[in-house]
Amino acid sequence: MQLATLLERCRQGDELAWEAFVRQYQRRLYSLATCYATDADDARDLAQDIFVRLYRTRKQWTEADVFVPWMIRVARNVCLDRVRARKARPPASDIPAEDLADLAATSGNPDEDYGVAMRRRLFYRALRRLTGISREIILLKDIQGLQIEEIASMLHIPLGTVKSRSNRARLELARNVLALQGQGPTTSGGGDQ
Amino acid sequence: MSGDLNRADCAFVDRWLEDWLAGRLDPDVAGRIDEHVAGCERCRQLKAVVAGSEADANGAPEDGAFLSAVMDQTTGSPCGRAETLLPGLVDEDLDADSREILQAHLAHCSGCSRLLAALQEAQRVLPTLAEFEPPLGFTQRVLGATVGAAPPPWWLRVLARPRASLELAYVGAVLLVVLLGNPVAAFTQAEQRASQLAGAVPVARLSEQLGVRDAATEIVAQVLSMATSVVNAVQTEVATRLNEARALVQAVQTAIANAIAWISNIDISQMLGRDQAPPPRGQPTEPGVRR
Repeated sequence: MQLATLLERCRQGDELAWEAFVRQYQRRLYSLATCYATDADDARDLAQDIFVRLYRTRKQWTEADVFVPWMIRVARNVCLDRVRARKARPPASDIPAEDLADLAATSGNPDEDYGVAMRRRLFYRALRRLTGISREIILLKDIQGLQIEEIASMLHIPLGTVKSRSNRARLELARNVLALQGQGPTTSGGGDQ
Repeated sequence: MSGDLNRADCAFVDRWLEDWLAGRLDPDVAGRIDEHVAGCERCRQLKAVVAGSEADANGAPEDGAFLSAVMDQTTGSPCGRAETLLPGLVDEDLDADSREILQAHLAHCSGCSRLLAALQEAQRVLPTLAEFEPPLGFTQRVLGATVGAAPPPWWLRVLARPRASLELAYVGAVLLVVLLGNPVAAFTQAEQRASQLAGAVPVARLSEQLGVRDAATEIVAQVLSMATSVVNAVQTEVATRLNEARALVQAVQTAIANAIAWISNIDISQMLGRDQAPPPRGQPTEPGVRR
């Protein structure tokens, strides 16, 4: 079913369409919620709150071509409401990688799956070490795939700032990955020219 | 040039290297440089390269230690600049010239190469983190909380707002002021009302009747005397401490002024003059001017 049709049926209160919508986006929104949650239960409750907010505002849903960025914006607002209610930014140590079974891969080749799963867990751990704004930019741009213009509008910062912060965040992430691999941080002058 | 002022150091060699190789220095200065170069691996390499480059411009060695030494003496490590360009290289967003010089750096820098590899892998792995499988029963929970569920009453939605407690406190404060009036009003003319109340109490008459007036007066006088003596003692102690502190500050100020005067009297040019090399034999040269 086309997204536009699905959205229209949801707007009209079609319960089957809403169930299909939930099934279609629950993995994505649960992934987003994990970045703001303190533990697995919190992530589940947060993801549920996102869907409840979406359901209550279904009459105001945007058109299909811009729906996903709008949905992520709503989801982020729900997450930030929760964060503000906790009076703190999302903690650096949220859900352990081991608690997320979906970080495992299922290609059918056990050796390959193990390698892929280990790399995903490594990057997830490196992501958890980032500061709040760096993690949010990586989450929105590199994980959720939003355009820079959409992120700039969402975070209320200029386009150039999004680009520079994104570059810094990716470098910070890469350094964290190397540090977790035991190769140490690569600081300026660390090369072997 | 630390320690022995008559000995050359690396900076001294850097400065006079060309004159030294061309034989334009005094024997004494040349001897000092000879002595330093004999014991300094870096300056030996520098001498070999400069001497070789004068003989054959294409003969510079591909030596990491030498390059590091040159970079340390000039711009510093280029890795910081390389790191700022790495995301552009991953995104294929660099102009051809920047890409070329960055790749030349990466060919010889393992640190930046590892960082580039991590950035490239991040580009592949991060999109795969976009979707996580929620726990079992999640869909049913969401459907139960939305479809057919009665929306919560308005007051519950208000209370669920993140700033509800702050807003409620504000509204409560406004209501209190409206209902009870100005809370400061209770204290206006408090002194006058207190005097009226005190005058209404027949303390004097009661004291006379009980025969305790004189005794009470004496007790109050003693208490006042003790309080006065305590206050006087405290004032004396504070004044003494303040005087001591003032004297200490004045002593420190005097010491600082003496130190500044002593430093300003030092003749720096005379001291530095012993470090300057004698002018090269033959013609006078200016440092930094190549011949």
